[in-house]
Amino acid sequence: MNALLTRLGVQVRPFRALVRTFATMDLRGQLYGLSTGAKAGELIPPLFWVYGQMLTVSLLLCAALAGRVDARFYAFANLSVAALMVFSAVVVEFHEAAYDPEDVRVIGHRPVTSRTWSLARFVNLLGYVALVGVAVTIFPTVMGVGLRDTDATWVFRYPIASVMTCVCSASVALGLYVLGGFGERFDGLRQALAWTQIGGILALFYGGQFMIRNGTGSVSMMSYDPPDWVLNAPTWHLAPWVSDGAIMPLAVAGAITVVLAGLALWGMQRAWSGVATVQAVTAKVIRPIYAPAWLAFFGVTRRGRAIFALTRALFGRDRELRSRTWPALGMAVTVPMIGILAGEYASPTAGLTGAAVVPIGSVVVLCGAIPSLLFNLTHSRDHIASFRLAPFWDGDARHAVAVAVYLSYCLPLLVLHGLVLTWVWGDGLAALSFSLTSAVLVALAARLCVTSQLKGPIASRSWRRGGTSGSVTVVIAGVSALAATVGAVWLLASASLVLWGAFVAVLFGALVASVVVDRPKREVA
Amino acid sequence: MSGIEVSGLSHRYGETQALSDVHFTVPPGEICGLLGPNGAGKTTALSAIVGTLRPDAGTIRLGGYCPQEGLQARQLLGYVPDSGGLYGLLSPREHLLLASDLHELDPAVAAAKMVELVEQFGIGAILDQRIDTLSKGQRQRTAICCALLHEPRILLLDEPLNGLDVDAARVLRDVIRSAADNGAAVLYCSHILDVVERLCDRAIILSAGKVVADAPTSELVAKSADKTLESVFHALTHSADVDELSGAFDA
Amino acid sequence: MNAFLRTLQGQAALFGLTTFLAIVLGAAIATQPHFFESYVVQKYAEPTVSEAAVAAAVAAGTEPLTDDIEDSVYATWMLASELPDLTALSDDDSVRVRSLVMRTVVSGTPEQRATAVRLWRQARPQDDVLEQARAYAERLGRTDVLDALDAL
Repeated sequence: MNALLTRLGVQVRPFRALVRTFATMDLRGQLYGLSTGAKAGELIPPLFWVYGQMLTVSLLLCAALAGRVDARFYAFANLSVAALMVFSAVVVEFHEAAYDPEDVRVIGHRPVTSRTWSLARFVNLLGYVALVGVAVTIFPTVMGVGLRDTDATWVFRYPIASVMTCVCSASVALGLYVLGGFGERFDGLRQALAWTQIGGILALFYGGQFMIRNGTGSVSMMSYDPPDWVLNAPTWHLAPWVSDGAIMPLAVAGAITVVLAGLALWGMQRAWSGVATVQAVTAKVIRPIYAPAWLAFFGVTRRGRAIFALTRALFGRDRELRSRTWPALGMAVTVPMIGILAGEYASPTAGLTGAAVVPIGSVVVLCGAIPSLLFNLTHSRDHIASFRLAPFWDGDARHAVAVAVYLSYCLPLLVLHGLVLTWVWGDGLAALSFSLTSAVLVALAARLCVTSQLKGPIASRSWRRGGTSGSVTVVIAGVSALAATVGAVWLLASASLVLWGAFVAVLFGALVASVVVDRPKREVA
Repeated sequence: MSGIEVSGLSHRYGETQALSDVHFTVPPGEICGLLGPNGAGKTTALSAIVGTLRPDAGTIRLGGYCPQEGLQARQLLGYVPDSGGLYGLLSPREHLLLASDLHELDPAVAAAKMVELVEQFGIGAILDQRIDTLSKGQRQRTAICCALLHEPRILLLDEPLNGLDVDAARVLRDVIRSAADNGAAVLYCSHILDVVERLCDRAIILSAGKVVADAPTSELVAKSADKTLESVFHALTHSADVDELSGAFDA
Repeated sequence: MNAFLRTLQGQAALFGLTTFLAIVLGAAIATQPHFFESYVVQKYAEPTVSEAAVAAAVAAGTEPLTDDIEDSVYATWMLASELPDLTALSDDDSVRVRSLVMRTVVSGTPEQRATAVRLWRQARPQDDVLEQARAYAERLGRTDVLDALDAL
């Protein structure tokens, strides 16, 4: 091993020391490692949830394909999902294992070659890839033996293909990270992929369920007569090794794996030389965020406007907060998508049908997402936002935060939804009236959420980790149940213009009342 | 073997000229103070010298080697950054072992030096605690120990007294003097002028990216009105005509 | 327990146990292929066209038959395992039915697959769909389909 490292131009002792150091730090880190870090209350590390998530997705996929497809398609589907999962895991979670900005400050001036550092970091990353690789390989390997057209050799053929797929996928992700200069440009991709990952999981879950349950055998037919995109996928060409033991695909995949890993390493080496010698201390000019005066129309006080601006700044500049915020809206985006694709997205004014329930359901789902948005902002100890907002937490602040969440996330989504409705329904007036009602209902839900968390950050029992677990689930359940009830009334009220008008007026009245009641009492001199 | 040689060093951040044609040398056995107001270019100069910044122009030699080519210069270098420079999740012991491995020191020699430094700087009690749980002074002591472990021939210290208590500061001054006596070239960057006045053989004052004074400390002090380095520093760094004044103070 | 979980060994045990349970679960599932077969069921909607209308359309040789009628013909066959008179069903009209047969061979339960093959064998003994079905069944080792093909 030492001889090989030396031949590769790697400093053996520093390499070993760096690998040991990175592993030690990871085991103590908050993100991946033991819960013995700062968060003493946590026993299950985040890495375990990632591992469990991979296992679950893999199990569901294997179960969905069992009995439906042949061995080649089974191998293709599992390898493809493994590649995607590993890719997104590296981009979203594990890229930090490949580069720590502290490295430059700690070892940038030490006698360590960029090749030594690159290989140490790559090995560190491969540790995580190996772990998630195991998670996405167990079920396809074990359950694959039970397929009709496989034999016992599957048990070693599939893992070999899986290892190659995972290393290739991780190398490509690492290459993109390197091309992004370990920094800002990569963050855009990270955000996009985090969002895509959520959409992908939801689409896979609901879309897959739809394909399996529609009774036309879509999955089986896809396996029998694969579409072009399947035939062009690299994993389709590797699958014959797994299904039939074909050697050529294995050889080609092996060569590609070595080349991709080599390129990723070379890129890392180059990038390290770049970051290690360009530690510029240039100040970044950022655009100031102001709270406009027209917020007064929303009942936001002057003090509230300052908190509104602070909230907008936190949403805009805290990447972690943003990446936790988007997932909460995943369902609110997915429900309309699936409804429209399934042709079940009718206007409530067109009649009391099942299809008319879905658009209202999507608004109810959006209402149910607001507690998570607020929780991440005001109650999650993982984000600086909670600490910044804690000292101001009163009626003014609550209202300003609710307005900020509403204007930053809910209203843009509702506007987009309105445009989609106009297109789908072909009736601008119906779409407008629906959107107006949605806007008032969602605003009321936002108000309800902030007033339901009266104790405020830090002092509250909600002081738990994550956006959708812990005591916030109670608020989510409450708001969702209430919104669903109001949604049902909305559906019934859509039968006549008068009833609908009365319904909107009552909603609006409740909204205004909730603002007035929650105003802080001014001291009278 | 030469110490630190900086010649024609220039660097620009966007519109800001951080360093402009900086020349100086620090021969072996000398302790040289690097002074300057905030934004004068000290950190940029130090980053270029340790090799973590590639300057726009100029050459740097540490012991005759370029810090950005090969590892020889880095083998000779001991560096205490102004803050950080340590992995918070490691313990001081682990950090010292890491430094030893990165410099590929003989384990027995490294262990003996480690014992000596740990004793000198009094970090024995915190040797197995995580660095991110230590006080600022304890972290600074650890960083200093890590920088001195391989007995560097070139020593760069950026505000090394930050957070140190009186005893540790005195130990550090003794260690620096001892290193210089043993032939190390020391570049000492600080805002604490009386320490520079007492410790450094020579002082370089940077202002707006230019060297405005480079002379033995005693000479600089002698030329000032009230015989303190502080008044020299103030006169040089607050003058409209820096070039004229620097001529008056040049050795 | 909590203290143990906080150690490196505890965390390794957590991952190890999960992995072991996953292997056990996977093995348990792999040995129960019939469980999955029972879910691979083709569902046939109630014929949207009345039997009389189907019979009339087929008998009259109305061309082309609508998809609704062809689906109804196929559903009737599969649900009742009865073979109507196919003499009037032209080759053009049988395109959709042929694809439905192949879909059943690929994605139906063993019983459905056998039924589809048997019916089509009776209707069109020389049809290449049967050869495709045989090739597919041989590749996947679907003995039920091969048995149905050989039985006639």
